[in-house]
Amino acid sequence: MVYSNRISLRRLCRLSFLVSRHNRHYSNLSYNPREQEWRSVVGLEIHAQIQSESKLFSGASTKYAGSTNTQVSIFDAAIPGTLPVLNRHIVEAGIRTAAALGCKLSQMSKFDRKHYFYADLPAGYQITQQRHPLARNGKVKYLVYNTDNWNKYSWKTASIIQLQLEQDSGKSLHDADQNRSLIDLNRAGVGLMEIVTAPDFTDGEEASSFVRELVLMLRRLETCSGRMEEGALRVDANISVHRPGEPLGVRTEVKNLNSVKSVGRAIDYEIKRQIGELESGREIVNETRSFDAQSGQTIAMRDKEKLQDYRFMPEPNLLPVFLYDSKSVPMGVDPANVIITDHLLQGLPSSPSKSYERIHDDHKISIRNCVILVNEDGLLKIFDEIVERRDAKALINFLIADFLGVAHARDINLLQCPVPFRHIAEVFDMKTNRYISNDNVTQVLELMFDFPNKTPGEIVKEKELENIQDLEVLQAECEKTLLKHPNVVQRWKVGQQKEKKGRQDPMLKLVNTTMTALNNRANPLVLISIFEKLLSKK
Amino acid sequence: MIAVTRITAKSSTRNLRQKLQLNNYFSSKVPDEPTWVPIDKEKLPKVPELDEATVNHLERLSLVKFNNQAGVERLYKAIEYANQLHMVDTEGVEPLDSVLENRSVYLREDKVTDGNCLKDILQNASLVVEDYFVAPPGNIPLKPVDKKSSK
Amino acid sequence: MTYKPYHELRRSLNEGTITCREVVEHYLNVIQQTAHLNIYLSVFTKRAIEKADLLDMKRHKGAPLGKLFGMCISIKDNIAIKEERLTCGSKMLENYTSLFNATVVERLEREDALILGKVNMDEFAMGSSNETSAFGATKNFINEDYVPGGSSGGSAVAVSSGTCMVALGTDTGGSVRQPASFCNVIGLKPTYGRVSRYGLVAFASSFDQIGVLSHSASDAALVSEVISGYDERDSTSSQSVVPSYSIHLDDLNVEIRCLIEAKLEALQSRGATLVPISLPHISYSLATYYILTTAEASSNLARYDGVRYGYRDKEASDLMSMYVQSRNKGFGKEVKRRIMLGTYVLSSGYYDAYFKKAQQVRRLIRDDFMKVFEKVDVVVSPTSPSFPFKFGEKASNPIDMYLADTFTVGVNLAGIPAVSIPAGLGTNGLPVGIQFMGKAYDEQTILNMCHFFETHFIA
Repeated sequence: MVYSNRISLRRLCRLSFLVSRHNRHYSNLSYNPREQEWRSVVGLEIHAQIQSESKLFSGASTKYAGSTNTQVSIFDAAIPGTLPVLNRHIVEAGIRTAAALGCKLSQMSKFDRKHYFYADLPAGYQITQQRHPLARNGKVKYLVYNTDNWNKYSWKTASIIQLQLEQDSGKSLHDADQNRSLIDLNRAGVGLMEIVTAPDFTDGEEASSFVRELVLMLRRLETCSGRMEEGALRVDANISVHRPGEPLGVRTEVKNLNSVKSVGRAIDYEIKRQIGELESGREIVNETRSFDAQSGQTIAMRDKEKLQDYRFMPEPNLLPVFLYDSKSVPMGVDPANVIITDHLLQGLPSSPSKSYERIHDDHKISIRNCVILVNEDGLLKIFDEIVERRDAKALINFLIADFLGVAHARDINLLQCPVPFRHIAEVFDMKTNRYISNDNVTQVLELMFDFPNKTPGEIVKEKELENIQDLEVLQAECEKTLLKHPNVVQRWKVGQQKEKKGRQDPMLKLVNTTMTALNNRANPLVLISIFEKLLSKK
Repeated sequence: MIAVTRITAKSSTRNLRQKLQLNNYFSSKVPDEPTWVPIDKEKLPKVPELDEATVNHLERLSLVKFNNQAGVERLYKAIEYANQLHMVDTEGVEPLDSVLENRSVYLREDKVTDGNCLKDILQNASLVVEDYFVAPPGNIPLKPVDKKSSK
Repeated sequence: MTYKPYHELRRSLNEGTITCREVVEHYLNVIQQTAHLNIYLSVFTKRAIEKADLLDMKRHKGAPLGKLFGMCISIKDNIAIKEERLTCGSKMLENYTSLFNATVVERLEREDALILGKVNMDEFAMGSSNETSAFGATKNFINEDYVPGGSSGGSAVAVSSGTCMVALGTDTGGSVRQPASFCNVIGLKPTYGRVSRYGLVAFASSFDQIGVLSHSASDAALVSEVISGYDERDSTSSQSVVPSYSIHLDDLNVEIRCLIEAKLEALQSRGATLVPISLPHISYSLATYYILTTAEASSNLARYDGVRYGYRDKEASDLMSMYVQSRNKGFGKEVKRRIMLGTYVLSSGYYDAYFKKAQQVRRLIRDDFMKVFEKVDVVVSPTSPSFPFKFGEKASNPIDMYLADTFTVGVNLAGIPAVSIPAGLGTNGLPVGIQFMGKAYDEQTILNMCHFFETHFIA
């Protein structure tokens, strides 16, 4: 985003006609009468890697992109004679996440083994929590929105069936040339939260909106990085279609969707595909499919000819996890063996949807801006701190349009903002009060970051960037411009007889020229009025 | 006090005692005849036959093979033997996962204490390529073998 | 050198009348002489002599000596010793070397014990006769035509033939007690959770325990004391305080005649059936045991696929074929049988009728024991329903083989401790063992019983 020194259209709009920034006309999505015949049902299983130093059952590191097989303990490689030991931090992360998702925590949860053979599963089974998961029955309110049409937004609620802890598998790289698989177990045993939703979604838009909300929530909790591109969060979708009034159709599972966009595209494609199959008289096979991002299609995975029998069995090497609060914890129990949840459930961050609601209701901010504000790490905090007694709408626009651009260009992490928030507020005030011109805002922001120990006011004074208030000085400069550009003046004169439209061009030129000469140290509106006065005399 | 749970042969107890010249007046409180009620096989549910489909399914799940029909029959007998549990009334009984079920699990600190032992990890593998384990490619279904042809 | 209980040997060591090196050399010699019994899979000649020299030097310097100073111990080959072979009696792990030490090994070495080698066993601890080992059966020292029992057959014969003072074995359904009974030695299985399983190759994780075989109750008690105790690396290990068993071996006030009778009746134990008196569900213990342990075994053995270690079929062209071929060739028949049964009882459609049912019956059996122990201190039974049998005798019908565990499995189902002690020889010259079962964590009482039995009945 480059801010030119020229007057922007927006500024001129402010001068003359104020057009609402919100498009109020509805552009409905193409309404397909055929698809009215079908209902689609989608449920999600999300696997989120829990942020921790070490793995779920071993002390090996969980760092991303470590050197092959160097973050593997003997337990992770399923070496004979090794045993699992549970990581407290991971359980606590699961507890906080479950609570934030509105779930009920299980007082006792247990571990199970899920058996299947694959090269990236060293023990031949995954340790998970199938029968007695950590938490159940949550609810998540989320915002469904469309970036092409910001007026089409709605609030939905999805139910969480359960949240369970389990091991991640290793990675299997397929070497097609040599017809073999290469196995790296660095990821084997990393702690995962599996979040299973009820089949509460109808399409890709809803599902991807939910995933967006979930990712934000996990990042706020700091229990998962949410970096889908790194594989820290993966989504499996269960999709089926049926005609209204009939029972649910056969479902397929689309696995390993690794971006919010893929979630939406894959689900929408699969729904269309299933409808197409059924309308052609064919049947839907209960199978697992993968999503090919390039073609936008789902593809059947070869080795799932029969339903997998996972032969769940209780994990005999681990005892149950008991949760207590400070009132219910039994006497004489070793603190190393129990989790007391009080401090974990305090101070949980609010959900993104709550933030949207709050800002939308309290400050009457558009949904689009709410979304930007909330989705940008650290930006909401800045807003909340400096919005008091300031115009919220104007502040948001400033933050989004002016401030973010500069921060992004400098790769600044707003969660660790290098300047005090009051400096940012000061720049906003200077802009609002026209102490500096809009054209200089970017420069001032850059300088603000360059000199975090100086207040913006000091910087502006030092660098002589404040607007010149002395009308005589301004007038003198305007007259200079007029003298330099007689043809523009001429054009202006000609334009006056014609319609208004012709007038703005030469005025633009005159104002821009003067602003440049003044180092943008003037309010263009003031310049315009000076020019109008001068020109009317001629 | 000691409880004695014992087994005795049906008839030769007294004979042996006499042979060894032991005191016959001592009573160990163990009945001379077994009190165990034999299980009526008719009352047990029938074990479904292990047909080819089931055999193939088991082989695919366990990734070991029966090798011959005798092996299948052995399994059948073992299942029949296991069937006797049907005679036990377990209404309302909670399954026992572990004799230590009332204890809570130990939770360790989240510190990196393991790993970084690449050489050890790869030491016993018979095939290694550039620090990776090697396996043939997956995703190809197993072909079921006709069991009736082998004996 | 005839057998001595450890405390006598220790006295000689302390006094300097004998050195550790001499002790080790003696045992290594016996190991050589008994090679035809096929006891040892690995002998640590170099390692043991080096350690013996170190220990002798330690004593010479006057440094404090460990509780097991100079005690020569052999270890069953499913317990891990770093940089030594760990075969579990199976072709699958024929060339496998352990990467770490089991906790019990660490504890033994910390107390200055000497480890002589790894001994033979039934493959992956599945068997009751030591006939399923991929490396040939071990012969019973008392009569070489007969099985030594299993799965810790090697451990039992190692002690019985005088190749070591004490051996470690593992007991999932009687695998320490039954061979102890067949070989005329003492075999102790501690309470489940007493001894850390870290470093024990799992067979049935909710049953497995490492046990001790020895000639004397005091030796069993001493070694047991050393290897027991809480270990963070095993989440099922108990924090119950381990008493110093060896110090408190006392006489017990006991019905002498009852014991004699019991001892004699053990001789009459051929071909009979179990009578549940105070344990109403005990007759179902075998079926329960086999369902649960084969299920756990099928799970614990799923990791043996040839990719990271173990036998690998190099010809296979795709993943599943490689797995099947490696496992088919690497595992013996008994192991495969048990994996099959275990898979069956866990499979969908059968889980409730078999596995879940067995778990419920297990609870009933355990409750039976707990009720009985409200009234009594020790429960007595023969260790084995039969005398040792000949090689090949039980091979044709595995159910018969399983019946050898009749009296011992109840103990593992309930997780309580039990010990088998020689109760004399039959008229056929074959040994019989008598088993004492105790309350959970009450090894003390049963060891006391052993000691009493030993002093009064064994010559």
